[in-house]
Amino acid sequence: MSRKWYERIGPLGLWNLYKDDWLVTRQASRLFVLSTVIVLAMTPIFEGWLDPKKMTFWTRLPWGILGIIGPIALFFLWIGMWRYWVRVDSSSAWAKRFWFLVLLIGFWWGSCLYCFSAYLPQVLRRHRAEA
Amino acid sequence: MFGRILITCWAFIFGSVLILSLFPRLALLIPHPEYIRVFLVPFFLVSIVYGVNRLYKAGMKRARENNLKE
Repeated sequence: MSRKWYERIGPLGLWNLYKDDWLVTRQASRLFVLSTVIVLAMTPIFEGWLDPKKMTFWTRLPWGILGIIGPIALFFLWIGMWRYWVRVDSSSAWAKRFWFLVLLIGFWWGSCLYCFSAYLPQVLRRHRAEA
Repeated sequence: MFGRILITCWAFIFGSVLILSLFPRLALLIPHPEYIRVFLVPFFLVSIVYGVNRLYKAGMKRARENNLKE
């Protein structure tokens, strides 16, 4: 499928990196769950509950690694869940409206909620039906 | 059509930033630079609202299609 030049760069480029078929695979669901865990683990950093100055090097190290992996997981999950909502989600219109608001207002935390409450059940149901 | 206008404007903005970073003296030729900020903030907000609205419409269209199939 050929895309216009502006669909390959910027936010649209990131958006189009996800393939609809891939979003419902086992690999994608595992990666999204892992991203959810990482994003939730990042919450103390986002909220400023941690003071790295008071930590020893070995305590600071895992937080530093999480600080590198976290934003990647965050955008992976956030864009992935939006893409799934727009392109694949088979819920009713009212459920989709509700999840739209959750994703819009909840940012990445909304994506975590959507992943566990809407995305995973649908993908697991699909896999069970295929099996 | 409106989406294309927005994309063209963003391309112009980023292009201008690139050109001005290479040739900063060109910034002196901009007639009223104080108006850039006045333009940029609403333009950014309009782009966000347009994007969200487009996402909503695309998602809901699919929901209706799925419901009809059921």
